[in-house]
Amino acid sequence: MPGWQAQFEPLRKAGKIRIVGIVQEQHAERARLYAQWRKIEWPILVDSLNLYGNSAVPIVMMVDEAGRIVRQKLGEFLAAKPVMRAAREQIALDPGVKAFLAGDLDGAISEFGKRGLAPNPISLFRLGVAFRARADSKGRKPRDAQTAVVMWEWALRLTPNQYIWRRRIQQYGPRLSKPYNFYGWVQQARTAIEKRGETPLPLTVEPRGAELMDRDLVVANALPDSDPERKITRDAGKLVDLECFVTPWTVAPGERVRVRLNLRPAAAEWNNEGQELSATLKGPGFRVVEGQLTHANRGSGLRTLECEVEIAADAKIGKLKIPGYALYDVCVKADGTCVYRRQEFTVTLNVSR
Amino acid sequence: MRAGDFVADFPLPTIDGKTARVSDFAGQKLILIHFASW
Repeated sequence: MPGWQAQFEPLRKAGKIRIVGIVQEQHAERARLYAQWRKIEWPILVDSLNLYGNSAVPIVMMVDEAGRIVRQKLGEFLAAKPVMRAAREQIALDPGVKAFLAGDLDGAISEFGKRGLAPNPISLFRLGVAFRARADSKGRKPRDAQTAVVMWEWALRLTPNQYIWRRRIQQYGPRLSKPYNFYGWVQQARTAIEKRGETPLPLTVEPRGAELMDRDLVVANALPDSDPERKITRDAGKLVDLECFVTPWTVAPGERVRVRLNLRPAAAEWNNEGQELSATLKGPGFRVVEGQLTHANRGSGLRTLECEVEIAADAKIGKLKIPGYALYDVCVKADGTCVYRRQEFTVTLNVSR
Repeated sequence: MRAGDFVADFPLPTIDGKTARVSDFAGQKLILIHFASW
């Protein structure tokens, strides 16, 4: 990106061209922070649904005055006489896309999902985007995050060369499946912006866990099993909302998946003076190979735990259910009583050759 | 999209929370940069 800026900024400032960015990203506000950091002054459109159909980025296109893509050397492009603006066809958006762009995620999921009997990869990808967006919203439903991964995987199986779609899975997937740390730049950006005396623009969805994972950085395996005899009183999800999902969802024996647990206080608040949040996965057919299933007592909102699980080489083909439990210390909002509670969960994934 | 094609034109949200389409910027030579922050 800085390379493009160096090449095109002087031309833009001289009024010879306009620059428009189109960002292929699930979370628009991350691009906004990026633009603030890089001092990008040109408009940026957000194409989360991949309406442009690019299979990779970056792509730089020269577009003439009429709106036609041209393939020329930059010098020839700049020297070319202005082209008359031509009538261009307005592309009608399909109902799912319209609903998504209007912020109606339930409507988008319903529309994209209608094509279930004759799935096509584009609709499946967009369905995944809508599920992920709902998982990141207050209207989230319990299986949204997992369903997003399942839809993206399905889309990618049908169109394996789509690297933009592949990135969405890698974003949440195992450390070794990703080429580099996707959002390591966020902290770097905030530091640089603050150094300039500005306030970094906020992110609605903070990158966490796998999204910040360096390929070469192994996080020591910390897997407490603090309640092997199941003596701690259960919370059925009223005090804390627990969402878990696994990426990828389909995996071969001997391969790894990344498990994420998102815990959000519901009818309670974290007790930051109590026991730290922890979780455990126990059972046959897998082993936890790395990750941190404890969380420091800090802050008040979402707490995320992640680990990587290696599926046993002799695991049975089919659904693998990995049982687990989380332990947390919270104070009940209604009366302020602080309690230590256990919540059960099951990570389900698909073992396939 | 190939050379000679019109750039597909539909409304999209901008990072500032507005809505815009590529044709809003027509009438001038344009560099369209498809990218991602990751």
